[in-house]
Amino acid sequence: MINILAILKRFHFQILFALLLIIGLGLTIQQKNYQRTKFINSANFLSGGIYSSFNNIEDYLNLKQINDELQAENALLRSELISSLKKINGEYYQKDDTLYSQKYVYRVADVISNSYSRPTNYLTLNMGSNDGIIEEMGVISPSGVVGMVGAVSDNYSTVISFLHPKTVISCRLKSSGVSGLLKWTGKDISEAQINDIPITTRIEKGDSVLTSGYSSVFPGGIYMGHIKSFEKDLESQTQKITVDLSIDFSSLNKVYVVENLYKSELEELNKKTAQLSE
Amino acid sequence: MSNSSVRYIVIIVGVLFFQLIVLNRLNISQNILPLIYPIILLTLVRNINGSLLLLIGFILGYVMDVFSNTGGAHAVACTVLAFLRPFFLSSIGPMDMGSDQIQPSIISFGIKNFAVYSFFLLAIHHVVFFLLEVFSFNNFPNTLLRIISSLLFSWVLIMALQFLFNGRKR
Repeated sequence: MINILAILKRFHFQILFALLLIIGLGLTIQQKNYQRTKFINSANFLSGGIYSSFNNIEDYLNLKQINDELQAENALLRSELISSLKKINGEYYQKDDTLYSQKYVYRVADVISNSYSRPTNYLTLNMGSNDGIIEEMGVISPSGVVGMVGAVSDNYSTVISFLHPKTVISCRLKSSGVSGLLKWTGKDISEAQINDIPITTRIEKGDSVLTSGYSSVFPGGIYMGHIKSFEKDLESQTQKITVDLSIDFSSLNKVYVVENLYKSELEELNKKTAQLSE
Repeated sequence: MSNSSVRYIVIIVGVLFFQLIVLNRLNISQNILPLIYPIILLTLVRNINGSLLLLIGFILGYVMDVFSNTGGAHAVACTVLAFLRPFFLSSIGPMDMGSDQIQPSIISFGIKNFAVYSFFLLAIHHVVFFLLEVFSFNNFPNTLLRIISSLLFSWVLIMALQFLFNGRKR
């Protein structure tokens, strides 16, 4: 016993170093493996508060740009209104049709901190569980998908950006309807890739890439960007598509957090199917 | 609280603010992330208790991690820096120092000694941090480029800060 104490006393510097090293490495590995666990992050009260107060200043500087973006989106939405559609063959469209019910709810949030130059990127939003945000909600901007909500605190939340090696988004090509998984290339913030498209699919440069709506997180039909180039890989009989993203991650100010009201129902169904097939 | 510890706390808060609110938010480039906050660890008094230095390093790094969502990468890098600092101080430090109470700086060490001392410790810190941040050896040349370019920026900034705050007294 005295020996142990003596060793502890003699090597306390080295032991403390080893201990701190192990804790630090543990935190790093935990964060790399389990994106959605509640490790302490920039959604906490202190960092959220500091970021949000600095964001207030920056907001004033970006007001014009935010306005332009929102106006462009308003114009797009206006063009999709019933009143701006032409009736075809006397068919009648009604907006509050009983055939439709609300599926997605959108909340506007401010981006109070945004990283886009690291290998793994996160955003911090000024909304948390008090505003109805829960984990794994989708986050979109007027020009495309931003990412998915990671951790949530009372008043803030972090978003795992699309610019993160673990983020994949189910997409489809507009002309052919073929779907695949869109993933960031890890280098350029305006470039993403879809791998494993069958070699028989005809791909055209400049074709639009839209979200497929297969996942329960994002609505379908959100424009992500256009096809920049594609390569055929004869060995695996697949094609790799490079997509030029429409969203500019360096200037995100306002984003929408998407809530799918049918998400739990969908997930339960998937779970049942999985159980049945076992 | 003594005058000097108040001064330390003001410096720590100031440097952290500059790091987090300015340097981190700038997103200069994918290859450049200047990290100046290790200057806090580099300039703590020479005879500080080793275990205390380790703890300060870990906590400082962890604060950075919390703000920048990096898990524990900063904490590990700072702990390694704090662990190795005494060895560097004893080998690079000047021989003719009157007191151990002295703070490493360009005045007490001389420009050349401080430049070498800060460069090597900063290099170790950066290698550990950027490797943990990517957390893979895929595309290692790219990581290396990231380390070297960020290191040069950080080091120049730290030296500039030293001249800014100590230059007049020389």
